[in-house]
Amino acid sequence: MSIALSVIETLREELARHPGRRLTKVKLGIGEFSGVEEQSLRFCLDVAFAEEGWAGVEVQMDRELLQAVCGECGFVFHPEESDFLCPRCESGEIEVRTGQSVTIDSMVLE
Amino acid sequence: MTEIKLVKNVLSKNDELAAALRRQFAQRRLLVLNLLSSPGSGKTTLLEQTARTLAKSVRMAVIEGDLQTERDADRIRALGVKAVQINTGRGCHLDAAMVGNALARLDIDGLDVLFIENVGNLVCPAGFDLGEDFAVLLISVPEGDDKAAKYPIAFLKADFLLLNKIDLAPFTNFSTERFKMDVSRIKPTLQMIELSCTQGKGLEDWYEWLQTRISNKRNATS
Repeated sequence: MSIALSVIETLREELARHPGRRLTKVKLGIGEFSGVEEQSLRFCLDVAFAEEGWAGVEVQMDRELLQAVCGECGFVFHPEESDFLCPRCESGEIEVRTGQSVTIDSMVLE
Repeated sequence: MTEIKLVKNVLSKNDELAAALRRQFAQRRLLVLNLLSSPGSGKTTLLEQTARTLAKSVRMAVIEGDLQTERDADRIRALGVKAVQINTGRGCHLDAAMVGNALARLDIDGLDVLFIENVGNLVCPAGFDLGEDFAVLLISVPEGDDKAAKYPIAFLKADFLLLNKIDLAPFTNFSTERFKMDVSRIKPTLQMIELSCTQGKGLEDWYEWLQTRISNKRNATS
């Protein structure tokens, strides 16, 4: 729910820059490893959007894949299951690049 | 109809608040630990033991996160240690704003270490930076040895791992080897101590880890 409220807060700020326009659609990027479950977020957004007077605003959720880069050999890979070692050199010195966050990618106004 | 690109991280507000907290803690050279675990893994018991043993030599305080009740904060206060309770209602994790609000009720001047006991949950707290120096993850034996494989997010976030209730291992099918193997596939650099807060096993190692971090922070140039 705090994520849904955070989405609303950000959208509210952005909308204030476009007076007179109406929000019709929001595109979110949901990191595979963000810990956010799409169904529950959708449910929370429905409730929170209705309260905000945004009932009917379409929410598109795109899955952002987990991507890690190896600090040893620079190999970029998608960690499978619970295996985060570099598949090329077996190093554990990896950095997760994408897939850990929830982003508001864009909003559509009318 | 216009589409406006935003690409804003939903948690960026939390990250900004956490960064401000981190600066505030650094100025005071105060070590801050974020304790993560499932409910019932023994976070409060660990803090009670730590308070009993170290409260005379280490100045500590605790921020307790729970959905409801002051029970955990009461347990800590009973040992003469300052504690503030945050009740999140239905919230499944603490965030940086809640910690900031709790600081208004807690005097952190002159402290060596501040423990933030997060809400018992292995998923959501991992996404929320609280401005801590280290995230300490506590897993207890009765939860099963598959927790690393099932909840890798918490293990990726963790800086230090405590395997608690090790005294119960003979009564369960928990395999320390299997657990360690899974952890090593997620974060091979993650150090672990086997612990029993009730029997005392491993507590000396925990105190040593803690005191080293406290003195490192005290001597750090902020």
